[in-house]
Amino acid sequence: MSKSLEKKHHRDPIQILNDDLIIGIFSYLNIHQLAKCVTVCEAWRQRLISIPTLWSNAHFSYPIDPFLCADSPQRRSFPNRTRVTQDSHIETLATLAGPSLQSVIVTYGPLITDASLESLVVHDCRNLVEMEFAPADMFSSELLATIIPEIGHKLRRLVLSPNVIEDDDLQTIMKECPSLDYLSVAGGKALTPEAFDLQKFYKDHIDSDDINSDSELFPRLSSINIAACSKMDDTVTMYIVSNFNNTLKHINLSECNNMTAHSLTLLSQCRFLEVILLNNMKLAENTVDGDDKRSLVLEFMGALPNLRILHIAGQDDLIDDEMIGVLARNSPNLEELDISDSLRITSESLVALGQFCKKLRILDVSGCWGCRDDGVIALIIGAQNLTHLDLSTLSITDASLRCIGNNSFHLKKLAVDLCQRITGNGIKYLLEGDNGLGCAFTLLDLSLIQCKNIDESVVEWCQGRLHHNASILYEFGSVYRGVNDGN
Amino acid sequence: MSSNIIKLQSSEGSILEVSQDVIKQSKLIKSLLADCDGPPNEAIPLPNVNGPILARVIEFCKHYQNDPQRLAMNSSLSNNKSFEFNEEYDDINVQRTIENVTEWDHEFFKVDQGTLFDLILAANYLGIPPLLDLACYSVANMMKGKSVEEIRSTFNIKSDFTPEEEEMVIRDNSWCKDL
Repeated sequence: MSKSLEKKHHRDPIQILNDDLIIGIFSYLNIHQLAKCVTVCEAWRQRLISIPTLWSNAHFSYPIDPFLCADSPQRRSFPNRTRVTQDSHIETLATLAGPSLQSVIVTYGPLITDASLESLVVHDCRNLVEMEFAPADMFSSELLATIIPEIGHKLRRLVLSPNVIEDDDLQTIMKECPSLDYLSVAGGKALTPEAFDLQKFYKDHIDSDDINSDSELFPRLSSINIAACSKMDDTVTMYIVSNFNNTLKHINLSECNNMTAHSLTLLSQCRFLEVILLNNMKLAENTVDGDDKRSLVLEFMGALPNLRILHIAGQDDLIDDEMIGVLARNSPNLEELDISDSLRITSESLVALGQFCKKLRILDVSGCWGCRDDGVIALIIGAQNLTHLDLSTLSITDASLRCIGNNSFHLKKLAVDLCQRITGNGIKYLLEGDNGLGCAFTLLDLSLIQCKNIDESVVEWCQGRLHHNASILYEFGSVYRGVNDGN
Repeated sequence: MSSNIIKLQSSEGSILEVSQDVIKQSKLIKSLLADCDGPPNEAIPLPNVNGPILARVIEFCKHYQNDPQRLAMNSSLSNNKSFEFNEEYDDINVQRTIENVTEWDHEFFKVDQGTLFDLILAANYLGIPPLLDLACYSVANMMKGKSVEEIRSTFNIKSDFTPEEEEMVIRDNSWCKDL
């Protein structure tokens, strides 16, 4: 009796269910959990590795910086776990999934080499929809050119960051991947603007008989990321805008150091643009012939009605309050803004953002020394949906923290590094507000690095108040510490 | 008796009565009913479903009878959404997921494994996708975040690997080692 009861309470799904139902269950697990299930017993191993569909989506994840805009290592959270993907993993995956493979994403793959690409071809992974290898610098250009025609036909999203990728490779991608929607070749140091001169490429390489209509010559990209492609200049912006102005929604030109404000004017012709990433472009340094740099930027800021995300940090003295005022009034859908290290920004910008950008969720104004309590308070009262806020180095006081504690009920991440005037009292208001209802319930990430009026006792007090998974970064004097990291 | 009521016969022969409006969520029964004019007088035999499970299935269908959103529920691959920069700020997991699992669902699926697998088999046989998806999701959740040893004890499975084999299998699946 007791034995039959036990049988009733524990049943092995692998033994009683058919493949469709096994897929129904195990497709809720990610690739890591699935690989773990393979080691349960021989029956599980044989069954699970015999169903390619289960292995069709592989995401080799790596913890992502909470403030994507913040590149400084001090501000990066410690990765909870480091998982470096290797060629053997990709080969195993290709073997298991074969033509079923739809998605392979490696967000941290410095050890990935040509062998991975080869195994995708060998195992006939021709139905790939999504392929990301970043940062992977060990692919050879020749191999890329030969494998893209083999596995690129259904690709919609492609992320590569090999230093060796050249103009020809990019044009091969454009020719062989007709479904491509999202292309990222960030860090392609060998790429030149001519890579995107697709009209010329098709005139040179394809018989005019083959050409039916211009619009079908190359994929209709909606996202292009050419960040840190050092040879890019305004010409590439011109090519991109002329080829994709009807489809382009997201563009990343961060750290393209040779571009000028003319690129911004070109971008404002793309009426569907929602996401524009322009950090550290040296727009302030590069001179513009004939035109006033400032008026070009002003025009750009007023021409983006669909804008959701704008990163335009690190432009020294170029960005000012008038520009942010124009942006705030004309882009009511703005959700995320990074203007860190803009030296001329003052409280006036924060007031405008609070007044007009009600959807603002993420704001980074670290290093904008002109912003003070009055601006932060106006922002906090206006923009009620803020989840991420970086106020590092501002000379704000406990009054700002108190206002945040009393008004920001969605805040997940806050950085106040190097804010020398805030004290433990302000942190108390931040977490508990005036009446016990502060940010303590939502805040998951608090950074207090080098706040000279805050000591370990405050950090300890915060630990007791915040969620047990929350992380607190702090450094007093010369000791850099993180609390709750690595658990 | 209203003509809207039909009879279902479970595997052990017991008869359950249910409104057509409720049970037509089952594709199997809906197509059976479509084949004949009006409700059949005879009970529809369902040899693959026992009485208690059939009662649970009917309970589920009754609860979601007037909830078109749940009936149209289609668990989706999260990576089918359009691609864009900075989509999420948390650890992205490309995996299937069900949103809006309600309190009622949690209670409904708080059953022993035998019942849960019987529900999966019945939902599959009768063709009731929302029940099937939620039941499968419940089983998957028994494995999420668990160690191999915990998964074994959950399903009462004994590892039949020799220590050498086990070492090899773990090495072959080393991408899971840090989780």
